[in-house]
Amino acid sequence: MTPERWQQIDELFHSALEHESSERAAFLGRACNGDESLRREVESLIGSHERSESFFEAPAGDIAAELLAGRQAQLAAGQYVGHYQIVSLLGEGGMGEVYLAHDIRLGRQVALKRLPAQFTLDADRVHRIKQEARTASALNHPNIVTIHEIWQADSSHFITTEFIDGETLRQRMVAGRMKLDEVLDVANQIASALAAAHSSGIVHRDIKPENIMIRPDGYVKVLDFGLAKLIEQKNKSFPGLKESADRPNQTTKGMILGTVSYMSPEQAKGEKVDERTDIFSLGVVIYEMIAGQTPFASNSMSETLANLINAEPQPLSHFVANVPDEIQRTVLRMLCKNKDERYETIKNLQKDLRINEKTLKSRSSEIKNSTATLPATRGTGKQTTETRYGFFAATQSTETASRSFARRITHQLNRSWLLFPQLQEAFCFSNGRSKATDLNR
Amino acid sequence: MAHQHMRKERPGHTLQTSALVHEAYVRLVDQKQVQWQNRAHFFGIAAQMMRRILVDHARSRQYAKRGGGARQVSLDAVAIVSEKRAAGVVALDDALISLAAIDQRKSQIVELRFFGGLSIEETATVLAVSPGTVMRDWTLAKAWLRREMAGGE
Repeated sequence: MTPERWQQIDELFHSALEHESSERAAFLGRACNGDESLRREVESLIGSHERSESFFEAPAGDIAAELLAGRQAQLAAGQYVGHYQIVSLLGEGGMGEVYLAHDIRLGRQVALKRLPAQFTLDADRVHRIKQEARTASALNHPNIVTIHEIWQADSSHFITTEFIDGETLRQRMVAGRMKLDEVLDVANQIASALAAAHSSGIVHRDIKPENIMIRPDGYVKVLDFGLAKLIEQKNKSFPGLKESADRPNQTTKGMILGTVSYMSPEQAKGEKVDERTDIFSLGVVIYEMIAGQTPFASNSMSETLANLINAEPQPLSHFVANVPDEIQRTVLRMLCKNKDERYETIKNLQKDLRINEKTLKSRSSEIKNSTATLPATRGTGKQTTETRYGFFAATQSTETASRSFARRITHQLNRSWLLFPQLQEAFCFSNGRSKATDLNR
Repeated sequence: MAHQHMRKERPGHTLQTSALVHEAYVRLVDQKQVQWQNRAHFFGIAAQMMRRILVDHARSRQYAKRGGGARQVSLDAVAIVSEKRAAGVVALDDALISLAAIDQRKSQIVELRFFGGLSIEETATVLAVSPGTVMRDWTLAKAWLRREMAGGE
């Protein structure tokens, strides 16, 4: 097909679509002026256009989960698995489904997690994971959820843990903004759980709001210690990825642990991780509790990747008034891309968190009304700047209104930097000749 | 009712998607010799990578289904709906190659929109054209690809 012909088809296609469907045939008859093959081509494209077809509606990122996941039927209430009877489905996610179940031997309620079928594990690996889970449970720490059992039935792996009657940190954030003292309290309790685990050589690897439970009495419980290791295996059974020839330094060491937004850079790279990955992830969680959004996540997967690689987090003061500098410094230090620049140990972090708490108390009168100024929004997905600042304006006192306005403008500029080339330098791109053209298929 | 261990992860943020992102990230980071010229360049490459990873995976799944990887237990539980998706991704890849021969920009728009997850506006910025142009191209490209993909079945 010549470019001219294609151009002609393109124009006719859109012109025809502007006509009512009843008038299209007549329009095309006139416009094609006897060129039957042109007419057939445009009509067939319009026919294709009108066929309802959802393939393109979901971006590839969304269908990836479907593509890559094996599906298994959910367990029904009343059904028995081993000596557990299913009570109800509590939730499901990337790491499988979680059920409330009744342990008929011990007569107690437990949380029963079934791992997705593709996590087929070799015996050696299961053994090591059990060891680690046992070690974590043996810590008997008030902020660590006890794992009862890891076992296998048919082709599925199950994990039973202590049942916590409470809400996840995600649910807490969706329910409403958190005050800074509450944020620090939760952060301290998580840090305390991590400190205990780290001192026993256990890295959590998957700290995120879904893995943190808050009981009505204020106790924070961290779930799934050591379990993130379960999915490291998956890298080996991800067939499409082995073929690619253009992957220097291909790592098979690691695998994705946790959702992207909470991953440390070294984790995202699949490198070996140590305690400092937990420090980074906790930094993301604290940032989110205060700002109402995570520092690197964005609307598209590409942009999230770009941020993970290049972007520095926006200061917390963009989102909340009167965050003490100390807290800001602590969080930013936790979020350093280079792990050597973060807190070296969780104990060092705890020290600073405690200082932060003191600072906050001493300034309590000053900041009493300036808690996390924005509602937590992550759980509901995207929120427009307008909505967010509608709330912002409503919650600011008049004396801070002008400052709020300035912040609003700055924020909007930051958000729309994509549209302003001069702002792109903030993105740390260097100039230079690209050698990436060989990536074209 | 207690909501213990609720995992209301947003669609697209599941573990499996993370695996995809992980791969793209590693590939991007490993392109050490690449000097990103600008944001648009970055997105273009990222979308290409998403496409390759997904298509590679979909192709290998089809291959496995035909018996090539019959011993891979992990693929046994795959639902039919996913098979259809996998076939769709492969068919789309083939169709996009044909489209690129006729109209490079439309093929790029589909790559950025579908594989890169970019909005109309973002795509327009990356390609330095107006959103209206992207919208028009996207509409025709979808119609053309659908027809092409249906014909290949």
